[in-house]
Amino acid sequence: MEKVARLNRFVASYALALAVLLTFLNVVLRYIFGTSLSFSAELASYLFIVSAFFAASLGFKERIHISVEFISKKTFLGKLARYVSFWITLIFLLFIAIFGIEFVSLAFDMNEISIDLNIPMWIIYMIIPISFFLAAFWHIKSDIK
Amino acid sequence: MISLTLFGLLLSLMALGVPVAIALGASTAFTLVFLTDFDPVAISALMFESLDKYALMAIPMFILAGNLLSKGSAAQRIVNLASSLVGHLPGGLPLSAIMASVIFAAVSGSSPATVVAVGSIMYGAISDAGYPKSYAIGTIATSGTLGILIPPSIVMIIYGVTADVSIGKLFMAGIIPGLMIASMLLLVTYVGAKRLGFKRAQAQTFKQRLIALKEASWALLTIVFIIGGIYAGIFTPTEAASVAVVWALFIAIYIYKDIGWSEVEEVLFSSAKTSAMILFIIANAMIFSFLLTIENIPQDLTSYLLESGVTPIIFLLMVNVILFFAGDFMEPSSVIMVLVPLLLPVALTLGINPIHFGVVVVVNMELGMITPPIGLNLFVASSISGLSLKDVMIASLPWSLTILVGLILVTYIPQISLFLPEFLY
Repeated sequence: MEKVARLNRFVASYALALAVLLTFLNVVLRYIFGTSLSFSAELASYLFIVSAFFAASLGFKERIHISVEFISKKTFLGKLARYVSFWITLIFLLFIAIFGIEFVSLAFDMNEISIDLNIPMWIIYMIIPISFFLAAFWHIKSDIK
Repeated sequence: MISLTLFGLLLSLMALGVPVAIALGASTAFTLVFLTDFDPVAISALMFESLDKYALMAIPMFILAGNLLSKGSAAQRIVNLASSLVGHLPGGLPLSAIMASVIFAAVSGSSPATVVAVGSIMYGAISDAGYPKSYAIGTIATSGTLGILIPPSIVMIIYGVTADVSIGKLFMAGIIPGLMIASMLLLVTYVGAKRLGFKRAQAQTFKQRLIALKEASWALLTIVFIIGGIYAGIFTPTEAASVAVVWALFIAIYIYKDIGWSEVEEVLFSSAKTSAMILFIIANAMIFSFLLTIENIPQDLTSYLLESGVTPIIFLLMVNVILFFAGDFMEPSSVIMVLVPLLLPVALTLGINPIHFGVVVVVNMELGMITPPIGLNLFVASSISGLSLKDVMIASLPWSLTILVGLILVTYIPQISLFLPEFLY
């Protein structure tokens, strides 16, 4: 459990750090050396997406996703609303994750290749199912606690 | 039928307390699956594509740069500089808080972050000096909202991506309105303080001011990099953000020696988390507005409004009212992503400049941040001061009304926003 959380946290943090460094590096290369690495902008974009979705997943554990609270949690209605809200969130996260797998396999079948990095797109698209399954996992965990 | 289901579901889910991001995504997914013949795979694909935008990358970077600077002494140095400049005037400390917020707004892209950075230093100082609580918390909560109007601004990046306009131009368009509203806030504070006859502090000598400036100069250089770089066309906003991060890291570790490398990971993670909260809303709101667009809902709304003979003046008034209420219930990124695709086509048909429209939207979001129930700045200000949300809101009232006056000026005098970008580009 803690290991998964630590790994999730590591990926979210360092993907962002790398994205910043790659973008900065490209600025330096362009203005000081007059060249640029074609793959770095693309890689930075994907790392940014990795960081965003993985941090969002872990966010379900730490309850960072804001919601509006109209009904007091202590009333019966509030408890019911919380219950319904729990299931809607879970179903949605699993929905995106499961169709995310299909999205990955479609890209696999079509042999999509990324423009500059030349890696198969299905590997990059894996971000969606993995991060949404993780999000669903943390969502369940945080509710049980 | 589709638009009714979509908005009905969104509102009901939000009322149930479903996180805003999920409410946006789930209402779209439901409508898409049951009322259209779209393949559900498209939703997962769109979720990925909605964040696959170079401009959005500036958001976590500006958050990271702001966090690196506010974790250390940079905020304190900016406060010192501000109080050396205006601290001796009537209402000197609250005036300094406003000045410091303006300077910090030009370093950070977010409004709650500005309130935290300046507020946690200034609140105690202002109350200890014997000012009424309203002066202490009202100025901090309201001047903090300038964080999203004075560039860099996360909210402007989101508007730029949604409305497909140049973020660089938007940034430039925010400068004059930002300084104008800041001067209005300063003026209200000054006049009020003079009337109430608060005691003054000793004016600092020119030499002391110079020292304060020197102490803060490294942090101030961040502003030169960000605004100057974009202004001169050297950087795109995303590149400027990456330069700001590296610079902030450099001064926090080597110049001010506020943090060590071991603390960087913590700052990285907290920044990734804050960004993810916003980006996850954006990803979900993007599929929501995608559905709006393919169902031609914006076009229908446009032709409906044009047929009913709406004029630009009335339309802008309507926009302000709608955004004000929406801004009360949702935070800025979701308001922009849901409402701008609906309202912008109408604005464009009526001949309203999209950059000007963006500034109107942003100033509106400032007001939303200091009005309940979801005023982010109110929450932050209340946690800093220990006052209740209601007390903070009432204390902020004189300054909130000042921002409202600023909004009216910005709405009906487009030149305030457009002068600088038109002059530069």
